[in-house]
This record gives sequence, C-alpha cells and structure tokens, in this order.
Amino acid sequence: MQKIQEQISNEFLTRLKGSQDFSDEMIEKLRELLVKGEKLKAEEIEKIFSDEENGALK
Amino acid sequence: MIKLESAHIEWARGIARNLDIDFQRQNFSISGPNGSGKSAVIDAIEFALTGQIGRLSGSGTKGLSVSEHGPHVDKVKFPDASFVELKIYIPDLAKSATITRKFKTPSKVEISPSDDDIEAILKEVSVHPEIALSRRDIIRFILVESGKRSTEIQALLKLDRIGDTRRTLNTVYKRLRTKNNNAEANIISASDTLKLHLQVEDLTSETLLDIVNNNRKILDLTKINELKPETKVDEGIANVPKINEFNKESALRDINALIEMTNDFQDFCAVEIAEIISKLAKLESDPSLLSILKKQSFIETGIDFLDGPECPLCDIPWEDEDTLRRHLESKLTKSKDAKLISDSLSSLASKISLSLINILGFISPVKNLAIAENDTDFSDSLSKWETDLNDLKSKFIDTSGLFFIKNRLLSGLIKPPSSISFNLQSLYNKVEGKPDQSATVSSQTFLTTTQLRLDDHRKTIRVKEKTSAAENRAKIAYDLYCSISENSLNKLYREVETDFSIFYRQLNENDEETFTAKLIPSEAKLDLDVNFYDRGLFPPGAYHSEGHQDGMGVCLYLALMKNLFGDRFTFALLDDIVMSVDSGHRYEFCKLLMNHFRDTQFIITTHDRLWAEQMKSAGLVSSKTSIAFYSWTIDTGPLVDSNKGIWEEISLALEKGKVEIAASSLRHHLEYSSRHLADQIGANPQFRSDGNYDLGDLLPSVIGRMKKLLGKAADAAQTWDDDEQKQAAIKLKNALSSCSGASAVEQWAVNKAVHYNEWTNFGKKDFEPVVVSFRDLIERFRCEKCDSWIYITPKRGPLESLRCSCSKINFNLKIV
Repeated sequence: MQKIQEQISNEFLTRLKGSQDFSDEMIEKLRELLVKGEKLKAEEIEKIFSDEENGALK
Repeated sequence: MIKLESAHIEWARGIARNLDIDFQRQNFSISGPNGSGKSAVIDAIEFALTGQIGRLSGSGTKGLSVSEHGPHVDKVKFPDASFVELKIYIPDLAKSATITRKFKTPSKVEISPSDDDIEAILKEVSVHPEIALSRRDIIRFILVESGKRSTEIQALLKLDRIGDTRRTLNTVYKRLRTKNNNAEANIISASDTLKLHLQVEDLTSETLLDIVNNNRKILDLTKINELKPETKVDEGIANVPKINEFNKESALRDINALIEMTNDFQDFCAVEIAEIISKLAKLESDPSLLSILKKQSFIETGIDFLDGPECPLCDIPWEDEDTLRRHLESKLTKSKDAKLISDSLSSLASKISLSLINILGFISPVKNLAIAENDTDFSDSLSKWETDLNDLKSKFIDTSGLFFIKNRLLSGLIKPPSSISFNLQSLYNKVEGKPDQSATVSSQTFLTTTQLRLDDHRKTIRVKEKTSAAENRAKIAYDLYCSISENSLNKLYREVETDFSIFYRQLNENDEETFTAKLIPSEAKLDLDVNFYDRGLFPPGAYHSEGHQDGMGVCLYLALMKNLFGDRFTFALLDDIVMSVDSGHRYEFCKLLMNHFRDTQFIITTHDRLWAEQMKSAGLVSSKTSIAFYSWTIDTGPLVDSNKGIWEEISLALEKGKVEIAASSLRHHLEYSSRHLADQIGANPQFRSDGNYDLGDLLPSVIGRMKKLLGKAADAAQTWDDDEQKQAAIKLKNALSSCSGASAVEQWAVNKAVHYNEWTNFGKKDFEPVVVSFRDLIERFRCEKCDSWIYITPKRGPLESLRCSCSKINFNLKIV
C-alpha cells in the first residue's frame, strides 16, 4: 500500500509542475527532499524557493 | 509484512532461562493469570521486531529503558545473555527468515538470510511498534482529549511527517515573507537616499533623466534619452579628468538629513513602542501567559530542529521522537490568547524593523563622508551604531526578542553615538567650509553619486523581484500542500470511520445495529463522536459503558491498522485487550477477526482462561495454537500448562526433592482444570459475587456435578434400552468415586491434614501418592482418544449430551 504521505507528496509535486512559478529543476530538488522520507529542513526548502543557484538573496 | 513462525526467548523481561513457542503462522492465544508472564512474551516479540518495548516507553516510564530493563532481572549485569530469536515468514516474498536481537544492543538486529528484500520488509516492520496493542493503548484512542487523539492517531498512521512538512513549509513562507518585507523596506530606503541626492519628491525616470542630462550637458556629455536597467548615468565621465571627490551639495543634504532624523529620534515609532510596552506589561501581569509566550519561539525552534529522541533544547534523551514532539507541541497549543498577543506584537515589531532599515539607509552615506574626510573616530562610531541598529533590528522578530530589549524600549530605542549631534555638525561645517566646487566638478561628482545610488536602488529592486517570487512560491506551495493533505486526510478519516462503524456493529450484533461514528478533524484536533442508540452523536465517554468504550478502542485500532497497512496487515499482538470485550460479545469478536482479517495472524493474550477456551470453540485458535501459563516464578519464568507436560514437570520437581514447586504446580493445574471443567459441565460451586473461586470451591463441585451427570446418563441409557452406554456411565462414575476418594477431595472440608494448603509441608514420599491420585482423578474428565475435556451440550437449556470432541465419549442425557 502506498503510504498516504507519499500519495500527498506525489500529488503536491504533480500540481506544482503545472504552475509557472516553479521550474522543473526546483520541482526535481523538492522531489529529492520529499522522497528521502526524512524531516524537511526549512533552510533547504528556502534555498530552492529562492532560486539561489541563479543569484543569492541578501 | 510478516507472520510469526516461532519464537525462542532467553532471559527476557519475566522469562527466565528460555521459552520456545511454535506459532505456526496461525492465530495464537496465550492465556494465564495476571503475572504469569504473558506480556513478557509480547514484549519479547515486539522487542525482536522493533527494538522497542511499548510498556517501557511513553508517559510514566521515565527512567526506564529497553537495554537496562529489558533483560530478566537476574541478567541485568549480563545483558549478553538476553536475546530473542524469531522465525518469521514474509507472505509478500514467500520467504522465511530469522531475526535475532540482543538487549545489550537493541538497535542492532541480525537477519538471516540477509537478503535486501527481507531486510527492507523488516526495516518497515521495525518502525511500526503499533503492531503491539495493549489495553492502555486502547484508551489512547477513545478516552482522550481531541488534541491528543489527533496526535496519537496521526502518529499511529505515520501522518506526523505530513504535519512536519506543513509546518516546515509554513516556516519557509514566514521567513520568505519577512525577507520580502525587508527587501521592500530596502527599496524605500535606497529610493529615499536617491531622492535626497536628486532633490526630488517623486522619483520617476523622466525627473531623474532631466537632472542627469542637465549635469551631463555641463560636462559636454551626450544626452541620455531613455533610462534602461543597464543605463549608466555617469557614462563618459572617464573621458574627462575624474575628480575623486564627493558632491558637496549632495553631501550637505545627506548630513542634514541625518541631523534632522536625529532630532526626531525622541518620537521614533512612539505609538508602536507604547503599544509594545503595554502588551509586554500585560504579559508580565499574567505569568502563565508569559511563560508560554516566552518559550514559544524557543519551542518552535526546538521543533524545527527535532531529529531523533534527544531534545535539541536541553539534550535530555526521550523515549522516542514522537513523544518528545507531542510534549513540545502541547506547550505551543496551550493558549490562544498568547497567540493573539504574539501576532499583534509581531505586527508592531515588523513596522519598527522597517523604520530601522530606513535609518540605516541614511547612516551609510554619512559614514562614507566621514571616511572621505579622514574623521576616523566619527566613522568608527557610525559603524558601531550601524552594527547596533542591525542587531536591534534582529530583535524585532519575536516576543522573546522584544522582552530582551524591553529596557531599551522604555529608555530610548535608537541610541545614536553620544556625540553625534556635535560630530554631524562638525562634519557639516567641514564640508560646507570647502570651496564651492566648479560647475564641472560639481556635475561630475553629482553624476558619480547618482550612479552609485541608482546602482543601490536597482539592486534593491532586483532583490525584491527575487524575494517576491520566492515568497509567492512559498505561499503557493504551503497552500497547495495544506489543501492536498487536508483532502487526503479527510478521505482517510472517512474510510477509518466507516470501517470502525462496521467492526463495532459486528462486535455488538443484536445490540447496536445502527451504530455509526464520525471522526471530525479540525486544526490539530480529531474529535470522535458516536451514535448512541439513534439518540444522536456524542463523545464515546458520554453514555456508552466502559466495556463498550473498550470495544470501540479495539475496533478503532483495527480500522486504523487496516487503513495503514491494507492487505499487508498480516500480524498483530493483542496484549490482554480482548478482556475489554464484554462476555456477551466475545464470540462476535472472534468472528470479527476471522471474517475481516483472514490473512492477519493475531497473537492474543488473556488472563481469562474461559476467554481462551471461547477462542478455541469459536475456531479462532485451536489447541495446537494456544498455550496456557498457570504460574510464574522469578527463577522459572512462566510455567506452561500443557495436557501432559504438567505431570512431567511435577515429576521432575519431585525427583529433585522440590516438593514446594511440585505442590504449587499441582495446585495451579487443578485450579485451572477445575475452573475450566466447572464451565464445561455446568458445575454449581457456591456463588461468589467477586468471582474468586478457589480450588476448594471448584473441585468438589465439579466432581459432584460429573457424578450426577453420569448418573443421569445411566438413567437415560436405561430408558433407551442402551445397556452398553448404561454400563459405561456407571463404570466411569465408579472410577470417579474411587479416584476422588483416593485424592481425599471430599475430606478437605473436615480434615485439615489432607487439605491442599498443607501440601507444601509434605515430604517427597508423602506427596508422590497425592500426585498420582489427582492425576488419575483429573484424567477421568478427559477423553483418552482426543485428549479433550468432557463437556455438556447445550450449555443452556435442557441437557442433551455429555461428550468429548471426538465423540468417543457421548452419553445421551435425554430421558424418553
């Protein structure tokens, strides 16, 4: 049986993919964090949403 | 998931030496009086599978641990001797495996064969301690406040990660919103300093270009027609001799602006500061509110950093991460008032923080002027002031920060360097005293300063674009995750409540046929309401009896497990929870397990021997898949009651001269047998309202009842002209009389010397014949062929027969 949190994560990522605000790269990084099954770290998500690869926020 | 084939337990909990049980992948019952070691078996299995023991964790178990208190008490100092070995079967893989876990190293497990797929399944099992359910667990689901029920059920269904993710996404959203607000304030600050330099009220491309082009004209530079993001307003200056000076007029304006600002520091954010001071005073007047609030961000930080059972705030180890998380979360949800005050303080603090950013924007150009004028003392003091204000800004984030600067709020917040007015005036005079710049120099320095401030302004806009996009992403992600998880959880709760209602209706067939239940999730809560005889929905504790509430607990557990594992729910340990089902519904409980959980192996313990027999007669377990413990000692561990083994155990004890052990074993076996037989043949011992019948009550009554039944069987056979049956009944009756005479049961009431209480004082030679006579007596109640106890049918109403399971003994009791 697929765990409910996995179902939620999959639907979450699929629907984010449909949003123009998120690049494929961002979604892939989010997926990597979510599939780990470990507790998410705010700093890591913050980095992804801030798109820091393309210039850090100050 | 798994099924259990067998267990070998050595020196674990209440099990001394070793105990082997053959579970045969079947439902299995372990019965025995309280303290006979049943739960030790459950603990050992749970330990082998998960490395944990439920009863050594949770509230009220502080100071207890598996490694220290898991081994038998005599092996605490030799934990190497304590281990559990399970042979398991994995239906999904059609493979068997052996798991061995030692109490010395609870987190290490040996798995053989160490196939990846086997290890993966066992790893999954190891994070599901809920496979073991005890009575206190049942209470967790039913008779708890809704907030706690939500936490318990979410933990059971492994939904806590969903809550974690929601919280983390919310934290990210809040952080990025703050960054975006600060970015907005930085734009305003950069815009203000640029406007000050340009001497304009409104900053537009047109006004900026007008001013810039006027200065470029003086320098004979080309006109700029359009202000693009990459436009450099000082472009071309490199072609004219560059003057390394600041623009005098602009510098004077910068200094003046800061002078004016310092004059207003007395009134800096006066309204907001007054409100903050008032709210802080209110909090201080209510110590409980204050306590919650003071710790709020501390605890929130702690929750964010949770990663294992060790508290990130104080390093104290907890039983597990879930328990620690629940502890911290309960602190956060204690007061709504505290949250309201906290939100209001955050809003006020945010306004002040933005004003501080504005001040910082005006300090920077003056500091650069002081450096340019080699006024080191003043530039250093301005640098320190900048640092101080940046530090102060960081306190305007949460309530604990505001408390930290409370005195400063009261005594003056901004605290410029003590001689700032003098120094600013001196710097102003110094700059003003410089000869007026030529038009060329003035235009040149004006344009370079404009470009610098324009660069700053553009940079703040670029940052804002990014922070705005980041905040937007965080909001979309948080809202979306909340919406999806809420829908999924609502769907899950509907399925759980449906299954729960079906199970409970089956358990209470002919009683609550219209029973329904409703799980109502709300923020951090999960209310449970149940239908009470069609009079409406109420909390379980409102009208239902305790027995019914316990039944609900079991049904809710089963519904949760079904939804957690689906068709992979193949194994569960039910530790004395079936006692929660009242006697009138036990058969239905067995049917519930057999009908709805055909592929699940239940290991069930009960301290009620009758319950154990009822499980057999309902077909849930068989005599091959059940064992009974009749007693326990610290040296022997559980003493297993078996049809034949008991007599061997007694003989062995006697051989070793241990009369007291033999006497104790005999007495326990007779108590168990008599109690069971009293139920099997409908004996009528003197009624006791507390149900505490001892051997002296039961055995004589059982013998008397059997003799009467055999007499009735002989009479009935007579009416049927069945001489063979008549003789068989008389023969058995006579044998019984002879054995009971030898055992002196009938003299217990009058002759103290033969009473079973005196057995422990007997010598070996005296006690041996006692054992023989009781063995003969008890075996008369059992079929030689099938080994089953003799029983009557039906149990209620006119008697029809006295028989055994295989019908070798089958006396007709109906008289023609």
